[in-house]
Amino acid sequence: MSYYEEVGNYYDKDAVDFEQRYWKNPVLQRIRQSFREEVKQLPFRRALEIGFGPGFDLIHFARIFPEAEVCGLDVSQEMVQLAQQKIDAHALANARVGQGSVEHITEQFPETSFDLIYVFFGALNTVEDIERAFECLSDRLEEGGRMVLTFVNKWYLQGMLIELLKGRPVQAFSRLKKVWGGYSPTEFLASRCYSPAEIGRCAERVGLKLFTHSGYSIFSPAWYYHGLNRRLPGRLRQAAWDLDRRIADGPLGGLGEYVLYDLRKKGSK
Amino acid sequence: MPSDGHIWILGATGYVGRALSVAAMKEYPPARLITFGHRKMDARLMEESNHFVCPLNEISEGLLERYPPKKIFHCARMAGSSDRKRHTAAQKGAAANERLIQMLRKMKDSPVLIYCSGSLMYGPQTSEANEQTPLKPIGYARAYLQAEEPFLNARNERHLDARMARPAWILGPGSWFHAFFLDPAKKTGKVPYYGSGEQLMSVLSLKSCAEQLLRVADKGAPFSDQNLVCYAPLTQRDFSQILADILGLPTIRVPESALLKRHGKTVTEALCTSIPIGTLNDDWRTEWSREVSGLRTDLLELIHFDPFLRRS
Repeated sequence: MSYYEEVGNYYDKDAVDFEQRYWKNPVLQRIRQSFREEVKQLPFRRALEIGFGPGFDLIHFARIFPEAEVCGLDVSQEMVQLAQQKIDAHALANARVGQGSVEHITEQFPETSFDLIYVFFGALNTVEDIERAFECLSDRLEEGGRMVLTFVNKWYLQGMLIELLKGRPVQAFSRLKKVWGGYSPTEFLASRCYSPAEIGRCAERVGLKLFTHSGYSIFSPAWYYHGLNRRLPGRLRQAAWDLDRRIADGPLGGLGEYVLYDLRKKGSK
Repeated sequence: MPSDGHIWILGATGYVGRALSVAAMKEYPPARLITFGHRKMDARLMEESNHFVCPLNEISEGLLERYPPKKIFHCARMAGSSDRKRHTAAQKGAAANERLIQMLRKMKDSPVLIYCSGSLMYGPQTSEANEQTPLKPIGYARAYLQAEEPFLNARNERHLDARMARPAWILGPGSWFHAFFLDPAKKTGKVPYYGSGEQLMSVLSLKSCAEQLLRVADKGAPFSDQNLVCYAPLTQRDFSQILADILGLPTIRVPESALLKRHGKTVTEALCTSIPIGTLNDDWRTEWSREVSGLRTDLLELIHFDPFLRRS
């Protein structure tokens, strides 16, 4: 079985109650909203999403930007079906989805270039070769185009401290290994975490300019610390989020759970 | 970009703002609707509109350029839980509103702005206050007037078509109605009325308020005030009696002094002052009944959705 088949199978299983879990998680909702706002700041004509899951963002952008075209690729057949059902339900003529990973862009969308490519919640953490992935993306990005990419971060300091306090040193440093097993404590998903420096190098190699990078869940607990998020008083949670947003673009941003990178191709708008 | 321009709703996650957003979703496609909230996350707004989490004082010129508004509904009145906090909030609100006005003035086609104020702005009245009645704010409105002054000034100088909407008491879940009428009734088994009970009050449902706000943008006169009313004014005792009849409970008078002792001057003023509201702009309001029987229906609907009363 190929690596992408493994990833696809993992998310096929995950698709069963993916949306249900998402709607119960306000931290994920808040982070998604912030990711979306980054995308919405600048206009675009044709966007590509890699790893759209059940289609939350692809459908949303297709609905609020009917004059733009939104395409998507996902390795999971189940996720593609879920997204397609929503496209049909909303009769969206400006949304297209296909199955595949970042290397299959040309296959799925031949002779199509994009002025925006976005990846939310770390779909590029599960690619075979990150440098090759950047080449594929850059190849389809128009001159002056923009990429908004989010990655599960290697140097998630708060997570390391929490796991150490829990007496779990293996988990504390699992993101630093060559292969990270993903979020699930029961299902292994071979993936890899990247640091801002690594992403910066990959971007530079293909001629992309790193405009900004912004960290998430630096002080506020990550989305999967359900107990901690539940126990923290609302005001404290809000204060931690506000603090995170204030320092997100600075050096501490590189210590968040997720990092969002705003990359531009030469001739940027 | 939509050729008809965008519709902005500021304070979309707030009490009136959310109801307005839900009403606006029925009239405008998601591509036209730009909603702004602050802190509170609202999944429906996030999915069904172009939503931004952004405090009023941080709305950028970039957003005005990217999504130029044709109509702005301003429901982002900064609130406070005490007089001092309300004054501080009003000061911040005034500064944020002034900043917004300056940004809007730079636009080629400045939008219509509908500001959701309140009818406590009129203060005590012996007959129905209409849009020409001078403002004499009482209760919470004393502090909040400061926040809306930048819009009043911009309108007077004809810099901005700001329309001040002044809704009567808004009847909806989680409002004053729960805090001062329904919750005490559940707790004590008696529906209270405050002071003499003879003070007149005007009431409209949250849904009517949202629908009327949308109409003010389309049908209200430029640079005008618009009172939002639904039912004819009634005494507070009659209001409590209608509620008591529905619940099958007796009413009880709560003296003004007891209210003052428990909740302070601001709340007492708000609950015990007679402020019947009318309007000079009845022409576009025919779709909203002024029959008190409609109030009974609204109350029944509210009670139906109250989990405690549904159980009992």
